[in-house]
Amino acid sequence: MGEIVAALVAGVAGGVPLFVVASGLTLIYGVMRVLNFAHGALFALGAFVLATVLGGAAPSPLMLVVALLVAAVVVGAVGAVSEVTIFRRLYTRDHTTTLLASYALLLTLGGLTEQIWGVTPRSQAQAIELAGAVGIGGIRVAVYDLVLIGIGLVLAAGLTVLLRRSSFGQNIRAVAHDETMARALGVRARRVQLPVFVLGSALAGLAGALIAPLVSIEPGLAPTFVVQSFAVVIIGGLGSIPGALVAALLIGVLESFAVSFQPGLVGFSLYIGVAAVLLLRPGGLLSTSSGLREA
Amino acid sequence: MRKVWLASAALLVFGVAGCGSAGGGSNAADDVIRIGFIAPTQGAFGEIGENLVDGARIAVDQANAAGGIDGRQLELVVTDEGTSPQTATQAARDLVGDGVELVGGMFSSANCGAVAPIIEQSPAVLITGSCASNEQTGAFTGQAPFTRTFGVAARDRSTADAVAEVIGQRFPQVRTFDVLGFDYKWGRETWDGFRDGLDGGAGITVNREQWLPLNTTDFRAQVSAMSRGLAGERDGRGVFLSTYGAGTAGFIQQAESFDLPQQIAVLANAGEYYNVARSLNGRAPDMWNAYDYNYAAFDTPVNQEFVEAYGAMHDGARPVGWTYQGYLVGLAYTAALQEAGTDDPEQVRTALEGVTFDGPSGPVTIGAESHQADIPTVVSHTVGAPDQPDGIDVVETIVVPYGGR
Repeated sequence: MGEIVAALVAGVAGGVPLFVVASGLTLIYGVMRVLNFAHGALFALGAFVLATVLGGAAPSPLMLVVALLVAAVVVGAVGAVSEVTIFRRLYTRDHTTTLLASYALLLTLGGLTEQIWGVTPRSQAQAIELAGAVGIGGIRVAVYDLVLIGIGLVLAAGLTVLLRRSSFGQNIRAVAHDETMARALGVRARRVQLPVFVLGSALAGLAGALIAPLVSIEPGLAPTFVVQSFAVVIIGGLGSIPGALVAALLIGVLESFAVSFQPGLVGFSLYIGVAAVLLLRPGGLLSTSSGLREA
Repeated sequence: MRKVWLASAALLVFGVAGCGSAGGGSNAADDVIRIGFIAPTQGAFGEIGENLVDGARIAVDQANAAGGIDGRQLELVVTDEGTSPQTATQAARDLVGDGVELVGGMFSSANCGAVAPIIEQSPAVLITGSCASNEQTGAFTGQAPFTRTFGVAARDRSTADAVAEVIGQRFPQVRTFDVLGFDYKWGRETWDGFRDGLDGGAGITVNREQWLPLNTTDFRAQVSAMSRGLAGERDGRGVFLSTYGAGTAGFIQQAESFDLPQQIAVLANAGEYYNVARSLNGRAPDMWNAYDYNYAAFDTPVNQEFVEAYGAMHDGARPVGWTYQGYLVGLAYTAALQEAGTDDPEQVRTALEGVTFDGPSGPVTIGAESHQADIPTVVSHTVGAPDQPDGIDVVETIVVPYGGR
């Protein structure tokens, strides 16, 4: 039983960063119909910004929070520039054009990251208070995993409240559902699209910053996580934030259980999930006709 | 239509990681001898390429400072290996097409495996840098599989044998190992070599084998599972990592969360590790690693000169194994060019067979039949130390002589 609980905790914690990065991706797709390949580069940028702010040394929890926010804000700003200079001009174009533009942005941001930080990997020490593991019910759980789970819960609740309970959320859902009708009813779509793009990008940066103390921070981060986050979005359903949450946790838990009980399947759960969903429910597990409408 | 759109997007997404680019070319004058150097110059493997190129550049600069080859200066023509056999073969074709027929470098064994047959069909010669698969040279068979390809790196089997030999001697009580590795040829070969090298595998218990896709960076589930299986058995337990680069660094950082290094008697791996320890800023765990080089392992004038030259390029930093391999490629070409007295690739190829030159480890000979350099393997015992150069305390280095043919 302890083995199952430990695997479950590790899996949920592993799924949280995926959820954060994929929620930004799916939010942007839900409103603008832009499948942003550059999301992985924004994720990596968040990790680099956090490591730069903290300088690699072990921070206090407060400094870590500040650095997380700085990373989210900086990457959100990069997202804002991208939206204004590139994507805004492409909302009326076909998917292929926006895909190519976002792929070009991925390469550009990757190149800029290498120019600024170089190709030598760096690392970020964990806050001392968040390092190590604690015993819970006979199993050892990494403290930072618990922090990640907490942050994931807060973000999921925050996004739900934002989309369901705020007037801004109403506008987001209106534009996501039918932009033309929303405009006819007085919703200014531009005032929705830019903040959504910024929020989505900031979430990518936050996810990268969250995982920075656990990984080698180097240019290879971008392709690694862009693949996983797209898989989450495909499994969860394009444009569905609850879908992203379910898919990210599902992938994390499946992978963790594979490690513990079926090592031969390790590394394949992601692809098995994508293949199964594309075959059985091509729209994704929690897809709706307009994605964010049901968020 | 929605299905087609999703499937297309998925295909495009899963293709992203394999994309890369190649390029190259040179407009050098005829009075210079051009050596083409293929290495990954950007992206996830950019650091490796940078080190390989730095090493080759040091050798070329030293040769030029000594007057060149019969008065002709050497010029390094660097081109991007990319991340796939396709990009690597294109890079090789570009160089040969531009008349650069002395080619060296390369990181990935898969890429070397794809380029060697291309070189074999051309008038060019190839000295591989980091590629270390057992079959690429005749290190263990005595007969090189390609007449125009040579290798300076220690083979995977040599590094695995070396670390197994040392761990077997120093930790005879450790009989149970967990292994975590990248699921491809190098990862599997290295672990098989290590396991077989420990008393031929007899009496060794493998607690948990975990094989992950190349470039995996999230190991929390694996670390958690490994940690659960280790409780209270420290003295008899070891962990072997068949990972490298970001994989090794990620594992170590995530293992720290569970105090995993403190729960085992020995943590070992093969392949370049110094750069990983350096990136951890003094937080690297106690590690036993086998690879071609450690700057502290060789007390020779050539090594001293090499370390100083690299330090001058990078604010006193120490060269790593990849730099050393690039350096050996440059030294091998310099020696062969001097012996041949010409840059005609056929005569250089002939000169490379059996050529001897002074490397950082001492005299190095490339086997006339095997096309393999007889370099030793270095087993390094290191631990993170914030007050030491590069944040690493090199506790001990053990030089294991070349064991091939």
